[in-house]
Amino acid sequence: MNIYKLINKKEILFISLFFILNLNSFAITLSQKATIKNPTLVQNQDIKNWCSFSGENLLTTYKTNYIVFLTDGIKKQYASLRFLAADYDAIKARIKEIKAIDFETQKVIDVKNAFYLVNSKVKTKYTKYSKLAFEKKEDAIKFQKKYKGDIREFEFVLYMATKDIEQDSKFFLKRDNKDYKKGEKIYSKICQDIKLENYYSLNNLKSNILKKSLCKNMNEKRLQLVSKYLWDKKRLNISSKEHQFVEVSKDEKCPVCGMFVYKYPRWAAQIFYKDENKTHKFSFDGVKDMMKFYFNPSQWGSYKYAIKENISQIAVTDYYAQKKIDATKAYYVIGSDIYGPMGHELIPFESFEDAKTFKKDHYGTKVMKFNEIKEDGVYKLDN
Amino acid sequence: MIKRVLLTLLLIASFSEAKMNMFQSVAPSEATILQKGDDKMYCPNCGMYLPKFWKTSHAVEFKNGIYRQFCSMYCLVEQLELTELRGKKDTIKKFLVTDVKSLDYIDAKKAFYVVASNKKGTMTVTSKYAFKNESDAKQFKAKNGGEIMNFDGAYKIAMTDFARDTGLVFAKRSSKMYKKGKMIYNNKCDKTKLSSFDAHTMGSMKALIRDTKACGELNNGQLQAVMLYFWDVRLNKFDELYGENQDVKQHAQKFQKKFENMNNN
Repeated sequence: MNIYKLINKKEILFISLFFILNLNSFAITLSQKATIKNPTLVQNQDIKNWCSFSGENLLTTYKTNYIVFLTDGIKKQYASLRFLAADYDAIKARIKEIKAIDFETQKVIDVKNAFYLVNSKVKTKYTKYSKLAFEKKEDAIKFQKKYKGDIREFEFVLYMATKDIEQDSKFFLKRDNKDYKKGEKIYSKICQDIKLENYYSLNNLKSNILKKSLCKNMNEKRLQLVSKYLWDKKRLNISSKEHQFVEVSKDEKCPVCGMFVYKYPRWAAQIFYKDENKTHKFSFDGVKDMMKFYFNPSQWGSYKYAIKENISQIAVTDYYAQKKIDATKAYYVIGSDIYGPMGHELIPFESFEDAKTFKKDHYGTKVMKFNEIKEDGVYKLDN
Repeated sequence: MIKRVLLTLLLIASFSEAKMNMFQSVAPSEATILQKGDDKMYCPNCGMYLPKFWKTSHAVEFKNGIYRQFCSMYCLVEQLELTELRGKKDTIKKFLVTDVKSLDYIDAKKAFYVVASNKKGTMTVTSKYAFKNESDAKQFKAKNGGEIMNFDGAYKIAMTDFARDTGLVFAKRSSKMYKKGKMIYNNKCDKTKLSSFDAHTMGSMKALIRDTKACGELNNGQLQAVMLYFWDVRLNKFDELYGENQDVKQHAQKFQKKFENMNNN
C-alpha cells in the first residue's frame, strides 16, 4: 500500500506550514569554520590560533574573524566582532587598519567597503545577533533573501556590536559560569600550581601552559577552559598580606581609555589630586595612560582641580614585585616585548637593578626616570 | 539699574518664548494621535510629548493595525536597529512621517526629506523635515538650506549620526533634566510607589507617574524631568544601553562643554 495515500492533502498543508513557521521564528546556526586551504592568521606563531581578546579558537570561527593592524606594529585577530568591540577601547587610539573575513568567500576584506547582514535569522557562536560581512553586495543580498535581516555599513555595525556586549554577556552568563566551573575542576585535578602574576595576557598564559606543560593531558578545549577560569576569575582574586597593592574598586574606569581598571591589577596606576575639601583619585590601566592624563588632564574631561600643584600622590605597580610604589621614584623600561592592555608600555620598577635586568631579558630600549618622561615620548609609544 | 532688570526680564521672556515656540511644536489639537492607552501622548522611546515635536514625528503601522508614534527619526532608528523592534521588520506594514506643510502623516517612503537645514531637529545634530510635495521641500530648502533626499537617505544619515546624537541626548539630559528631576524626586515623590511601577517604556513610565500622582501635580516638563531621572539614573537604563560605549561618552563630553560655555556667556 502506498504510504503517501495515508496522508491527506490537509495534513501535507499542515506539515509544510509547520516548516515555514519554523524557518521564520527560529534562528539558524551556520558554521563559521574555515574551509579554505590557508586561512590568514596574523599573530605571533605561538598564539596565532587564538582570539586576541577571548582566547577562543580562530579557525572554528574563521568566517566571522576580524584582523586589526595597529600603528605600533602589533597585530590582533578576533573570533568575532563582539570581541573586537570588547577590546575596542584598548586599541582605538592605535588602529591603522581593520579587516574582516568575508562570510561567503573567506577572503580578507576591507571593513569600510564591506556589506553587513544584521538582525537576520542566522545565529553565530558568540552573539545573540549575528553580523556577517560580505565584500560583494550581491552576496549580502543573497543571504538576506534567505535569512531576512538588514544590510548595514561598518560604522553602525560596530556601534551595534558595542551596544550588544552587555546583552551578550548576560545572554551567555549561564554558559560562561558553567565553563568557569569546568575550568576550576581541570585546574585542581591536572594542573600544577600556576603563578598568574608571571603572565601578561590570556594567550601568553595559554601558550605557557603548553610550553611548560603546566597541566597534564591538555587539548585545545581543556586549555581554553582552564585558562579562561584562571585569567577571568582566579587572577582577579589574588591578594597578598606581604605588600600593598594599588587599590582599585570595581567601578573605576580609566579616564583616558574608559576601561575597567580592576581587570588589569598588574598594570594599575593612580594619581591623587587634593584641593581644599577633597582628595580626587584617578586610576589607570597602565603608566602610558596615566602619563597622558598627567600631562594634560583637560583633554580627558573637565577636572578643574586636576593641576600639577594639587597632586598629593602618584602610585604605580612594580612589574616584578606586583606592589604599589612611588611613581616619582620609579624606573621605567620602554620598548620591551611585554605589552600591557593598551599595547606598548612604560614598565615600572622600584629598583634600577630590576629595571636593567628586565630591559635585558625583554629587549627593552631604554630605562627612564619619572622626570625624564615627556608627553611626546608617551604618544610615540603608540606609533 | 531698572534698565538692567528690564533687560533681564526681556531676556528671560524671550528665552521662554523661544522655548515655547519651537519650530517642531504644534497645538495638541493639530497632532494626529494614533496610539492607544494612557501613554498615547508620549513617544514610547523617550517619553517626550508628541505635539511638542510634531513636525519631526515618525510612526510605524504594524500589520495588526496598531500604531507606534515617535518624536523623531532618532527614536525610530533606536527602536528598529537596536532595541524593541530589532529584527522585527516583518511585523511592520508602513512607515509614516509628518508632512511639515499639512501636519498630517504621510507615507515616509514617498516623502521628500530636507536634511541638515538650519532649522533645529529633534534628538539630533542633523535635522530632518519631511514633505509630501517636492515643491514644498524645495521651498523649505530655499529658505532654510539643507539637502533633499528620500527616506532611505535620511535614515542612513541618522545611523551615521547615531553615536553623536546619543551623546547630544545624554548631554542635554545630564546638564539640565537630571538635576531638575532629582530635585523633584527627592522632594515630591513617593519613592516606594515609584519603585513598584512595572513600565516597559519611558512613555508608560511617565503616564504612570502622572496618573498615580506619585510625585504630586506636575507640568509636562517636570514630569519628563522626573521620569528621565528615575529611568536613566535610578534604574540605570541609560548605562545598560550605552554605558560601554566610549564614542557616546566622548561626544557627550563635547556637548556638555559646549552647553557649559553657552551658560557662562
